[in-house]
Amino acid sequence: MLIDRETTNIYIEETNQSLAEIEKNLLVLESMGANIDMSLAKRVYHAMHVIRNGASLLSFSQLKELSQKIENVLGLICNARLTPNPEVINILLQGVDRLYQLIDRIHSNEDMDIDEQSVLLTGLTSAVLPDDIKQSVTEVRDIPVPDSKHVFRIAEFNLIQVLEQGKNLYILIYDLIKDVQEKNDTPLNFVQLIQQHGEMIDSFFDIQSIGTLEEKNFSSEMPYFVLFASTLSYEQLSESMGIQPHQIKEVNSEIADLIQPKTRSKLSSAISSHHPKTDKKKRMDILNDLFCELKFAMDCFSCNMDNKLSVGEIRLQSVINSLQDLLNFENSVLASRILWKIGRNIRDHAYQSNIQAKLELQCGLIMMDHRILNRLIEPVTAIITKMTRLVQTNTPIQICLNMTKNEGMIQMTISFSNPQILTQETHLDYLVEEKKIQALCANLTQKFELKTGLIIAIRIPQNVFIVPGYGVVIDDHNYIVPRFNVKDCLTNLDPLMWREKNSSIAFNHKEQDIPVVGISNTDLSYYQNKKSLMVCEVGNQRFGLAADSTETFELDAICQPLSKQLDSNPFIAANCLLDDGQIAFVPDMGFLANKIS
Amino acid sequence: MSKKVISPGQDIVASMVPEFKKSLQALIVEEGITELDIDLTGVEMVDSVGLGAFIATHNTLSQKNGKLTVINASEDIFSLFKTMRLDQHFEIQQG
Repeated sequence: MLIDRETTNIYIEETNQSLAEIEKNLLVLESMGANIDMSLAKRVYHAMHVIRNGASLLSFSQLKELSQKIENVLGLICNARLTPNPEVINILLQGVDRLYQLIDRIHSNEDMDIDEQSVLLTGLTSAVLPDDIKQSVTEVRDIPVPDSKHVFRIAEFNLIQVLEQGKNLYILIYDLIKDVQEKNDTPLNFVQLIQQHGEMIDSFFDIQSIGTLEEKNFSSEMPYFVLFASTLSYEQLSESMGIQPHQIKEVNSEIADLIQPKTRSKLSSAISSHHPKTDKKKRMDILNDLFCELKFAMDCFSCNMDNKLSVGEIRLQSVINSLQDLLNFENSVLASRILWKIGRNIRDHAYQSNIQAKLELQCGLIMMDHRILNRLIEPVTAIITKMTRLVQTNTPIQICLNMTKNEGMIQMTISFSNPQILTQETHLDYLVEEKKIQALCANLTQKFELKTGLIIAIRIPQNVFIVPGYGVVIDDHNYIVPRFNVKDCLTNLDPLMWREKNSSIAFNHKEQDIPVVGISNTDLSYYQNKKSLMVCEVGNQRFGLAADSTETFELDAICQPLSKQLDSNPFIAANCLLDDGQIAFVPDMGFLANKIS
Repeated sequence: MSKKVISPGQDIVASMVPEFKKSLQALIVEEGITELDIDLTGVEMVDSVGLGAFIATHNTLSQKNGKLTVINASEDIFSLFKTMRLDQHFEIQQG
């Protein structure tokens, strides 16, 4: 990349946050209909503008193109040329969804087309514009390069956007040999310098004048032209970029007929040079892992001491408690900041099913762990969708999701705003969703009374013990191996690499024997049938855990510590429920490490 | 159509371009290669003269109805070529 990976990661993190905010605000705009809050519309427009600028700076061409098209539509809403009705918002949301996908694959080399979204957005833009401007969306303007036969060909609408943002349009004329090579500079630095001062709308080499391999005057000149938009003036550009005035041509006059430039204003950079939040997620992951390891270690300790803790252990316990409080605080977010997504899902369901359904979210200031909230979205959406199907078509449906807090428990109730909408006793079939909710240490109930109507209630602890880990199957049982202890996972095991020595088993990997511990005592043939080996580490003890599943899955397991209760089964530290209702055990990694030593 | 992959294995900079250009010429003009892949594995930097070599190679191949493809470009080089719109003239694949 032209910009380092850390900056890209900041961009990804910030763009994901911005997109969530944009998505949420689009739903609010939709609910306002024609009476839109202009300041909100402008905030959404500005947020998309920042995403587009960042994409431009980082040379993510598809991101830039799509965000530009979304920005164009948002610009029309801000200028009151377009009403954000459900059709318009639907197209914008489809664009936003695609941006999420593009961001998700930014580090991969995977090509994703944006044709479908582009066609819809461009169609929307051109459809609502007055006839005199309508053509600008599809019309291309030729901007000739002075003293040359070359032209830049740019969509007029994009040029209008540049001018509306108060930018000037320039053509920069370079010779890469004279302006870069002879100044001992590199093309990479050269392009970075340009991008620091504005937006490269287009560029090209005069490749004909560079010639072929057989030319005698090869590499004597390399003409390179850049169509460039910047808030800086002609003089400022010349000075700060160190180029001669004759290399800059202001071309505002070439497109002046499109719009009169507005007052110049400096726009803030899309990317800040330093951002303390860069790796917050990574730091939190590490902190969560360390906490789990410490908690399991302490459980192991206290289990052996008949609940009589020494002063040292009490001090350790107080550290664990404080750490847990800190983690609970750091992982907590306002429930409404995540659960609004359910509203979006219900809106999409209503739009696709051609029904009138709306969700009213009443979360107040309740804070919860973001990992729990994110896992609530899918089952709660499914439950509400099923509720909408209980009601006759053509009846407008409003469903209320209310959250209250009482003694460390969160109560979530889902009900129809009009309790009489169902005229007879009705119950939902929610077996699949119930399992997913139970996996969060929560329970799901429903009751129907004629007066209150159907009420679905979810009771969920505000703070739970979450163990980030990897799920594997060993001897037909599910296990979650804490992420902190897992260093590698070997698959396609060669049966000939297993070793047996003094009744202990090892697996030879890269000419090193990894001691292997079994959940039960078994012989060599037992291991030779295993499909994978998780390489684990506890303290300085490294060992393998043989598993039957070839693929591990990562999850945040909502666990109940068990070690104190299960004296007869000392290798299990905790258990949890999986989304499909199956039970999974967290092995006591300390106990397994002791077996090796 | 005859195809060949060439792997310079070093930075494409002014000091190596004359020799590089000779080997490219030998492949295209003498051996008649019309589909050429330049494998940039191990190449961390391309300077302006190096960029010129790519464009000149593209121009030479175009005259013979051939095709240049740059493969295994590092993230930096891939992004540079895209920013400079060189991908509009020949195909560039990231490593």
